[in-house]
This record gives sequence, C-alpha cells and structure tokens, in this order.
Amino acid sequence: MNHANYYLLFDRIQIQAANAISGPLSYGFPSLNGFLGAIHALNRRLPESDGITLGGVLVACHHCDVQLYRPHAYADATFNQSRNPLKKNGDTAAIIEEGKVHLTVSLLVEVRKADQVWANLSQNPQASEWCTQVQNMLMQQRIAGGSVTSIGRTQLFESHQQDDMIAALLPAFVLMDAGQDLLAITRELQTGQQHLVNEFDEIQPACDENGAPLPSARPAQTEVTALDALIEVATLHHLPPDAKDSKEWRAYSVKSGRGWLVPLPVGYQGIAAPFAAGELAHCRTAEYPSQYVETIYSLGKWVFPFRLPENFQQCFWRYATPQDNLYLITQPPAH
Amino acid sequence: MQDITRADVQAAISGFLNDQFLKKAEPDIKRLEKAETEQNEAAIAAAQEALAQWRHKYSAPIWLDDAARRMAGQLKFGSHISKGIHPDAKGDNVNFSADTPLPEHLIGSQSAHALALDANGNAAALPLAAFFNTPVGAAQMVKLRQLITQNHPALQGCFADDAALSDEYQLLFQAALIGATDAPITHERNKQILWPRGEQAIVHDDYICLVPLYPSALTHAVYQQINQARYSEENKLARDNRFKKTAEHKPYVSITQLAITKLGGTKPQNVSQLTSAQGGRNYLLPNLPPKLQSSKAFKISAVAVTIFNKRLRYHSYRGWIEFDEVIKAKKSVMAVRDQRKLALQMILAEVFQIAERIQTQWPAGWSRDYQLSMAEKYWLDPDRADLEGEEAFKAACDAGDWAGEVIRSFALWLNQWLKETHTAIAEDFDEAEESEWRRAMASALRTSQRRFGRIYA
Repeated sequence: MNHANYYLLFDRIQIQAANAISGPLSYGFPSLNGFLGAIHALNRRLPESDGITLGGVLVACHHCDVQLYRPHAYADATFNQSRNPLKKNGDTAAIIEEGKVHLTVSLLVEVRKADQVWANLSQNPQASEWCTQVQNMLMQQRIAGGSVTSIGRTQLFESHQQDDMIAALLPAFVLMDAGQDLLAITRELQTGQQHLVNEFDEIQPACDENGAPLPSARPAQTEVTALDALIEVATLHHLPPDAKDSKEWRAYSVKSGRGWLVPLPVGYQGIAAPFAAGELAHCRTAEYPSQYVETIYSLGKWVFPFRLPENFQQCFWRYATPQDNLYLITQPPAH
Repeated sequence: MQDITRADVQAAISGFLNDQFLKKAEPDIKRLEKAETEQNEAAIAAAQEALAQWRHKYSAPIWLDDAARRMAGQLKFGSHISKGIHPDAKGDNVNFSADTPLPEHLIGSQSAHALALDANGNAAALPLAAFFNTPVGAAQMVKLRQLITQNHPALQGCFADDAALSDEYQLLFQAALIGATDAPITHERNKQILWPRGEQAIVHDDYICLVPLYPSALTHAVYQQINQARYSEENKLARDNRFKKTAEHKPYVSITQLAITKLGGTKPQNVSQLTSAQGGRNYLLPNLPPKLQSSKAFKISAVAVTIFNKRLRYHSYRGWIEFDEVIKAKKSVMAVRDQRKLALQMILAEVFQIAERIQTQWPAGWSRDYQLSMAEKYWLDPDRADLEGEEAFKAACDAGDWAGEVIRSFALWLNQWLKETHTAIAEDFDEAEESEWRRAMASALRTSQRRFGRIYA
C-alpha cells in the first residue's frame, strides 16, 4: 500500500505470554507474522462502511522478557514450562515444551482512508472515536499467541508527521530487514576479507585508512552458505594477543560495525506442490488451497528510531505477493 | 553419481548387512570365543546356533524382503517431519529435494551442506533408515537413497537375484522414500496458517493455508555444526590453554546466549530418528532486541535536590557512550553533527522513559517526602495536584513556569559532564552548546507533556 494517508500508532501494547520460539532455529522475539497477522485480522474486522484499510506494520520493541532459566551466564537457557490441566482420565498431561515471552511493543500501521479525510486530525472527534474503537478491537485479539493486557494509547498521525511518530516510539528498537548484511557476511566468510554494506545498500570490501583490505577472523572458505553466516552471527571469536600490538586477548564478532543483527524468520517456502482446496485431509480450511512449507530465515536488525532510513516507507513490513514458491514478509527495497 | 557401478552398490549392501550382523551378534560371538577357550561343547553348540540365526536374519534375501515388505510400510521418511511440530501430530512427512536454489539473502533447507534423511514410526523398523543412508562408491559421497529415488541404473538386480523381485523391492523402497502423496493428510496438532497472498487478499479473498513442518534435517545440520564449533578437540584445547602461561595461545570460538528446546520429552525417538540422535535437544539462536537500561530500577535518593545527577547518567548510559564517541571523533563534519543530535536524542529518550515511569507508576504524592526542587516535583509528580490539600501545588504545576528550570537543570547536567570528561576541549562547550541542549530538552518535554494531555506553557 503506497498511498497511506494516515498512520495509526498502537503505543506500548503489553502482551503476556507470547510465543518466544519464533522458528525452528531462533528464540526471543516472536516472528513477524504474529504481528502482521494480528493487524490483518483487525483489518478484516473493520466495518466496511468506514472505507478504511490497514497496510504495512512497523514493529518497535520496548521491552522483551523471555521466560527462561539460565543457570549461569555461559550456559544454554531452557524455557520455563507450565504444568497443564490433567487429562480426562486423571493422568498428568505430558509437557510439550513451549517458550513464552512478555512483551511491550509499539506498532505503527499504515492506514488508507479512501473516501473523505479527517479534517484537523488532532481535534477531530470522529478520528479519536475511531481510534478508541480499533484499540478496543485489538484488546480482544491475541498477538503472536499472547494476550493483550493493555494498550497505552492509540493515536493517528498524518503522513508528514514523521518526526512526531519517531518521537512517540522512543525509547525502543525497531525491527528492520538486514538481508544485505547477511550477504556481506557470507562474502566475508567466502573471501576471508571484511565486507560492508555501504550507504547505497551495496556490498563492498572493507578497507582501512590506507585503502588496504581488512582480513576477517576466519580464513576463506569457498563452500560457505548463508546458513554458516547465520551461525557466525551468534559466534564470538577469541583472538590471542598479537606479539607487537597488545598483551590482551581480543574478541571479534562478525557483527561488529553492522548494528544489532539477529536471525529473523521472514516467511515460508513450499516444500511440496500445493494441494487444491479440500484435497488435504484434516486441513482446517476446505475453502482455500493448502501447502506444506518450511520456515525461511534471513537477518534482521534492531535499530534505534533515530537511525531509521530517511525513506520512512521502508520501515514497514508487508505480505509480499507469493512467487517462486516463497511466501515472504518483506520491507520495500531501499532504492 | 554417474560413476557408481553395480559392484559398488552390492558392496555397500553387503557391507551394511555385515555391520548389522556384527552389531547384533556381538554378544554371541563373545560367548562363542569364551566357550571355545573353555572347550565347553554344549555352550559352543548353543552359541553357534544363535549365530546361525543372526546370520540367517541378516542374509540379503531374508533381510531385504523383510525391509521392503514390512519395514518400508512402518516408517515415514522425510527431511521435514510432522511430529517435530507437536509429538501427537500424525500428519505427513515431506522429503524435500533441495534442487531449486533460494535467493542468496534467504536461508532454508537448501543452505545446509548436507541433508540427512529423517524417519519416524515403528522403532523396530529404523534399521531401514540406516540402510537408506548407507554411503555408496569409493568416495562415499553418494547415499543409497539418492540412487533409489533417481532410479539409478546401477541398482538393477542388486536387491535380489531375481530381476523382477529386485525391481519390486526397489519400487517399494522408492515409494517409502518419496512418501505417499495421493492421499495427503495433516493433523489437528499441526500448525496451520491462513496466509494472505499479497496485499489485496481481503478484497480478492485470496488466501492459502500453509502447514509448516519441522525441518529436522536442517536443524540436525545446525546442531552438529554448533557442536563441532564448540566442542571440537581443537577448540576445547585452545580454550583451556588461554589461561595457561606456558601453552601456545590459539584463537577459539564461543557461542553463547543459545536456548535449548527438548522435543519429545523423555522419548525423543517418538519424534524422529535424528531427534533421538540429538537426545531431543535443539539449539535456538537468540533474536532478542538490545536491552534498554531498565527504568524500574531507578530510584531517587531522599536527600537529592535534583534527578540530574550521576545516577541518572548511569541509567542513560547508552546515549552517553554514543555522545562520547561523537565528541572524540573529528570535529564538525556534517555527519558528526548529525550524530551528536542523535546521541542527544538518545539520552533524552532514556531520561524520559525514566521520567514517564515515575510519573505514571509511582503513587501520587510521593514527592512530599523528597528534597527535590519544586520544579522537578511539578514535573515528576503531576498527579499530586489532584490530591486533597494540594491546591497550591496544583496552581503552580498548571502555571508551567517550572519547565524552564527543568530545562536549565538538564542543560547544566549535560554540559558539566562534558566539561569534566573532556577537559582538553572544555572551553568548546559554551553558551551556544548549552542553548542547543536547552532547545532539544524543551521540545522533548513539550512532546512528553502533550502525550499525557497535560498543560504545557
């Protein structure tokens, strides 16, 4: 939706016990689909007579409290589990592991109002009434599998009020796509030379002040795939002191200088041909076609709101039109 | 894969059967050895009989017949399994062939270097999965299952002496590997997602039901890769040597902040063979946002006259670090000036997070017991104005004159710290700088007051 004429801010949504396991390879913040799906569901519930549609979603996280236990700082964490009610025959139910997270997020949603605009937005009673209405609707929904316990407030912005929107999000971190960084890291592992994403979103080798290429912490491996790069993002290299430079051990991470990178599930890919509607037995819907899929990963980046790109449109996640067997949630490209 | 010959396949099959035989018959072989040294005739006979039974069971015609007719029907193979989503899910598994490459910035099963074949079902039939995973050929790079799914010509007559019977077995194996797709079935415990196909999904009623399966072959590859990085002898040695003065120091890696989920509880074999090999454990990588300094922990000392002190600086350290870096950087380039603005905004954001928490969460009237300046009390304890007997407070609060003093305190706080820590360039922070801090604070204060619908002068 490129013609959003308003933006709707759900400020400080508190979500209890959302799903912390965002995919088969990552935990922490719920997957994007949890938020986009909730807004999509909200959009479906809006009365048609309003002539209002919701578009892309900006996700900002204020607070993220994963319910886990880590015996000491270097140990692997396990998720806190809950005992579920007894089965019908009185046996204890088996524990199927789940991961929960308590969240405070702000969502900024593109709004398109087709027929007439709200005059004098900040004082417009209809606009504020509509805000209250959608806030109440969202309160009744689940977001990312968790219950909404409170929403700070709901406010409409006009599209030129970018600075006000950014100020309203503070302090928080906004989730951005970092697919280019994943490519740069893959190149770095393949060539053994540091690569960076420049301001035009292109990948180039990194150089020091004299123009000499900077070596990576790992020797070049031609066989490296994006999956290796994903694991590399979580890896910390401990390098012994150089004889001349220093006496201290150094730590090197491929993330340094690139921002706060995280693995990010961005959608699904079909792993078998799609079935026609009603063909797959025990499918929850016989109305629509169905398909077996697997989660697709990329990299994401948590960005402080002041560092967001000039082009504000770029910060909004949308359902892309499926192609090549891929069902993705994307942000518009930079250029 | 082209240079695989029939002899290679036959060698692989007989090698596999021999291994299975040795594994199962090991106790009896030992018993036989023992009996022979003791010259115990009865025991020798018993052990030999037992061995003969094993040999019969693992002879090619018997075992392959059993494998094709019984085991193949009792196992469900796949690279993506249904039970990984929920152990009770009884939907199809999918064997995904990673032929079509993904765009370079995406990661899926194609990104793994090698995908193992996973299986679940009757545990007694699991040797068949090992059979399919038998490497073939001199290089050992090709798996038997790859040949079977591709109908490789070298397989002809390998599974039985009779050509027709061999082909029949091959078809049965192939059917088991590919999985039946003519009657696809999923399960209520499988996650199912109604996915909008594009942005106009609501208008065109254009959805598809996606059924995600657990990519156990991919997660197995990740599990092994992480274990290899962490626990390889080389890495462990380098890590141990770090704190030994005499040893040679070498680089090592650590992977921290991981979480573990256990699939299948105490019976991971119920989920799948690969899951069982991992003891049900799966590594998850963290995708948490950075942690902001918690505003919960912030306290005001009862004798403090202002909140703009060292304690607040500690609680807004992220912005300060940023500010510090900007000041150290070469002066007054355009980009640096922009960065300074950002750092200032970051400090403000953190200050206001704390302020808003105090304003909204602390009980109204808390400031009565504190020595703070009145201006900061008006700012941080606005609800006190609504309490009984606080008419004077309310009047002064509404008048809004206090804002100027808060803004001044903020600018002073910032400037003082800059002068203290950057003594060499202390004179650079003069009136112009201070008025810049004031402007930024004033605008932030205005936004914050408006947010809560408070009067702002």
